[in-house]
Amino acid sequence: MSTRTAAFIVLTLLILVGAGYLYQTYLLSGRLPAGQYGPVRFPFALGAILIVLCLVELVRELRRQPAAAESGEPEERLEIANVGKLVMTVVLTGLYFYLWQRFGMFYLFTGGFVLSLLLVYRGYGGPGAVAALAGFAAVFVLVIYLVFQLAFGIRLT
Amino acid sequence: MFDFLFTDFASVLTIGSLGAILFGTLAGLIIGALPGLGATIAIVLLLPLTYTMSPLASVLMLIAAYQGAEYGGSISSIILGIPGTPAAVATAIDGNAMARQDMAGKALGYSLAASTVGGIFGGIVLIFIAVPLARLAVRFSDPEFFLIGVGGLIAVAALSSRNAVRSAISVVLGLMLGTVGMDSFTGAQRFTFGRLELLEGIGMIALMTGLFAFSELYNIVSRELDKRFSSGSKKLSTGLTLAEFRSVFRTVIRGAGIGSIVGVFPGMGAGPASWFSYIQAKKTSRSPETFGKGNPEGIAAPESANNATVGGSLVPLLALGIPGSPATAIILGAFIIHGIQPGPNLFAASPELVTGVFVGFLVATVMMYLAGRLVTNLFARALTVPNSFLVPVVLTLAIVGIYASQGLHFSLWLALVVGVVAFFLQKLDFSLPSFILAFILGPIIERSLRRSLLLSDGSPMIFVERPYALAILALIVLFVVAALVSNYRRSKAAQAG
Repeated sequence: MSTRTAAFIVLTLLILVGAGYLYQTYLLSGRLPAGQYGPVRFPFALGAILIVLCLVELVRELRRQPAAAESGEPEERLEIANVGKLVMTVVLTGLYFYLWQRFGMFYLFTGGFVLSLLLVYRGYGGPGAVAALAGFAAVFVLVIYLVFQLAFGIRLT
Repeated sequence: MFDFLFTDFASVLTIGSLGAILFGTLAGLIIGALPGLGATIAIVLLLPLTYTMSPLASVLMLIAAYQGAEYGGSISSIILGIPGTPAAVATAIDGNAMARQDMAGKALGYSLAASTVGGIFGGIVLIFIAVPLARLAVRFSDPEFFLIGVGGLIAVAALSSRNAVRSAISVVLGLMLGTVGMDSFTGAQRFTFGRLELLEGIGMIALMTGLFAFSELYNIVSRELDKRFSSGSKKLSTGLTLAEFRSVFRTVIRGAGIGSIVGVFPGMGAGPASWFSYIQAKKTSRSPETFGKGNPEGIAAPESANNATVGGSLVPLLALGIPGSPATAIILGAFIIHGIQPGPNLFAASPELVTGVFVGFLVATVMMYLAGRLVTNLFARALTVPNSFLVPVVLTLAIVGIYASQGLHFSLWLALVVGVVAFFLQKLDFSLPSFILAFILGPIIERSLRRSLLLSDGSPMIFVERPYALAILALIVLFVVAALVSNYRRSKAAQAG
């Protein structure tokens, strides 16, 4: 994807965020007594400024394209390497949060999370390598227990 | 004014505080040394631990980590030629050139000595500027604090991104996020969507960790996951002879002066300071032609400057209660966790805490030097840890830190979403420092604005009628005009070129 397309998508989303924010502020203003400078004026101003700035940037982006095309500059690309591993990192993190939240057992799921990330990043290198990675994950979880729970008294469940 | 100089230091620096400084220094050194991670991540990762510590120990641990990480960043710059942080980019030029001449230890020695002198210089500037500034700021009221907050945001937005409009959008997004939670004036719930977790606003630790740690780790996964660094097998000695130290002393002092002044201004920070110092050193050097080929001045200048910014950046935080960088915003978080609001009143309300921070700052710098002498060699080896191991470890520590801060799973989900969003926004030139400072300053700005308008019965003239407010407003206008002129000249030059 070109950075220009990505910018258009993000700026459009931000305009929607600004509109939603303004709508929520409007709903809030209906529930409050009319005041001189209450809790809605500042948010109203922010929502409006966000939309105006995003529109300004959209126009700038539109004007930048013909200028770049005229000068023969190649279109800048939004390059994201290692997309598969990146997506796996986010998905595994979400799954880890869900399992921890649903079942507790922090140390078990943390060990599993670390091991799964190691396997994603380093690949499957045979049973011996997996055992070594599992050993690393176990030692790391033990360190977390010693530092956070025992030394600092932070309860992780 | 400087009564604290005669304080009984033993009562300020307890075993607990010294232990916190040592822990912070070591953590800062190792995290700063790892390419891709820097001072902000070091402080973010340590912040959750401060819940169980005394206020002074908490703040000192974070300051020590800040100092340590600024020096630690030079380790990867010198040994690998890979600057872990923007502040260490200038160091890499001559530092790595010297390392390639088989003098990595000597290069690290120049870096450590310069960082220490820079740190102490910054500490002295902190003490001698923060105290009078706080005395002046006691006379400030809401209109002045509103204008200082706005001025800080304008400075950060103007300086922290190539694209000023996107930086301004980042500021507005940060301000918007700062409005979430219960309104302190009326008790009205704003943008909480009925969730109890949002009543006190967006969790600062979750937000900062997502913004800086998660997004940076995603960057490492994307760009450098398969990289493996080698730091060589030789033992590194970071010692310098007196003659060697004297040869760079002037450069170090000049760099420290530049760094401590640049550090005071919001949005500037260690990166620009180290470049200003490097350029200045090259201009004034007797042998400018050797810059880039391993000139010790090219290492000493940026290193003294980036450590001196630490003290400078704490001036607005302590004296005005307004952070000027993401790192000091996190240190502000440590104060807030303990129910302490930095600012001019802190000097009268908790003089022992302020004294402890000043004295502890200098102790942290000395400890950084000692730790640097003893463990640089060991930490240089840490650079060889493959990123495929580093990412799961740092990510898990960040997650544990978020959970430890509030005990809420909601915070974890928040950090995950923020991390992913920040990863993309950063790639499109949106400014994360602007965003986080706006988030921190938003409530201060809104509160001051509303109080000011209440005082003036709704008239905005209150911002120009008071002499201090008018002076601050004039400074803001001056800065904006200077920025616009500079932008105009740059675009003219680009068109001509």
